[in-house]
Amino acid sequence: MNDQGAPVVGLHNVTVRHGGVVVLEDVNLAVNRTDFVAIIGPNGAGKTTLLKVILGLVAPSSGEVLVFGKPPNELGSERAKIGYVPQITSIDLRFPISVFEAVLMGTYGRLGVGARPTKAEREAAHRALDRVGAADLAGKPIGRLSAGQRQRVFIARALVDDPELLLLDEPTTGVDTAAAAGFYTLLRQLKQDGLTIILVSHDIGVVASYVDSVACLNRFLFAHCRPDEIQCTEALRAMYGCDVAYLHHGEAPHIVVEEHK
Amino acid sequence: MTELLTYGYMQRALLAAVLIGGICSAIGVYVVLRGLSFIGAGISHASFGGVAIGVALGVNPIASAIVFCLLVAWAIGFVSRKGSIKEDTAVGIFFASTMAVGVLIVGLMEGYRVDLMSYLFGSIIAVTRQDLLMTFAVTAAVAVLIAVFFKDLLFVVFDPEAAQVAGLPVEWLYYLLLSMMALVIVTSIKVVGIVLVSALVVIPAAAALQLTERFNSAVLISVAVGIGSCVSGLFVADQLGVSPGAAIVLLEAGVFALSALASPVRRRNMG
Repeated sequence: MNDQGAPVVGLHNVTVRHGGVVVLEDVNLAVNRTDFVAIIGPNGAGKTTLLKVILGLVAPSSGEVLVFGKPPNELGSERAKIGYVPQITSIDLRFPISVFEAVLMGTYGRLGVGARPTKAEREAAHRALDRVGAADLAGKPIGRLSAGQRQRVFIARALVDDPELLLLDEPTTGVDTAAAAGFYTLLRQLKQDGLTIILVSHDIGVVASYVDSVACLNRFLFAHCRPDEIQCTEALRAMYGCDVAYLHHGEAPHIVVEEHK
Repeated sequence: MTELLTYGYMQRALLAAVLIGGICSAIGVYVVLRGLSFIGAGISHASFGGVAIGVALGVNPIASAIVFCLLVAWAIGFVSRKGSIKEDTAVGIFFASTMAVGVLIVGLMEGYRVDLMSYLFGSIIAVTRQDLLMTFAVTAAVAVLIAVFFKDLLFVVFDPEAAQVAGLPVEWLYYLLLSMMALVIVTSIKVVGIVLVSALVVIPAAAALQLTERFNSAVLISVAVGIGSCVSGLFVADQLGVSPGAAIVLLEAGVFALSALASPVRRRNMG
């Protein structure tokens, strides 16, 4: 984490209740410019809810959320600074549109209701596809992509309006290990380009080798730390109820999670 | 067949068939992709209540049904979005209770039974000049709305969450879609009747989606299937002396069956 002025995302004592159930409790989190953060935790830990709180899709029951210094619902035109890659399971993959059309949708928010995309928007869509290495897929129906290609396409859609903050929900679901490695390398490249990235994952092992820091979430935020710090190991053990060990491959720390006891 | 066209009633019926066949199947692509087919069936059955209220009050039954069905469509949308009730449960409740309103009114007014029957099963050859004007107005209005909000509706139907994050008025667009459904469905009950009208919305779009993986082509194919089936159904019904509504719906079902059998989309998904 580096300190360059106000954090891009700041959560202060955020609690979210759904019905009578407390999904998130007293969560504090600060994400600075060009941070690459993974929110990890078991299924049902509130990871997606945390993401939705940042996106302004879920209002906290109490506490404060600031994105670019404002509550997410008051961002107005600054919404274009947020790129969002939803969980792939929320999308109907038989939907009859091409990769290019899907990416072009990334410009619709800024264009506004009723306005047509012009040459500038179409060029931006092509550039975004280029940036994620998927230019050759432009004409393909989205149903014909592999899981790895699909993720790149939805990242392109999130990138088309040059956001400063990228949020991804379980981006490697169904993506094979080799494609996932390429995918995380792409995210690191985007971080180098100046993006702040927050992703949600239960895939601890792979994620830890690429991100700057890990936020361990299971209703509470157990820790927000570098993956190789001892408190992270402790937090993961507390969350998963099993021993977690780290291996080092070159500079990137790897985590190995043992079977649950 | 050309001789038929010299009759005023047949000209009106044909025009109505083209307008309704086209607009129902255009909106149908959004309806099918967003999974709103059952809401369509709910709205059409609610129109029976709306028609009965119109007859009882002595106002144009289609006009009263439009108002009634818009309210019902918004209520279904509101309950399923805000409440803890699922969409199909909400439809199930409104579907039956609004229809019951109609049945109750019919029971109270013996003499109007025959008139109301024509709404249940449709009577395209009884389309009046006034009906035709109203159909034209609704078709034009909905066509303009689709043209203006084409890309926004597409985004909302494809990925509502991302559309909301992008700052699109997702809720407003959802209600717009429901409102267009209500308008189109009620206007169409003259042609195929309350019982069969949702087929006009659902079947051509479902057939088109078997044949293409492009949204724009899906809309074009759907409209072609809709207009084609409505017009040819009208002639078939006239030749065989059967119900035009039933002929149209069965033709559409036939086109769907052929599309599904020939479907490159389906074959790919299975392979």
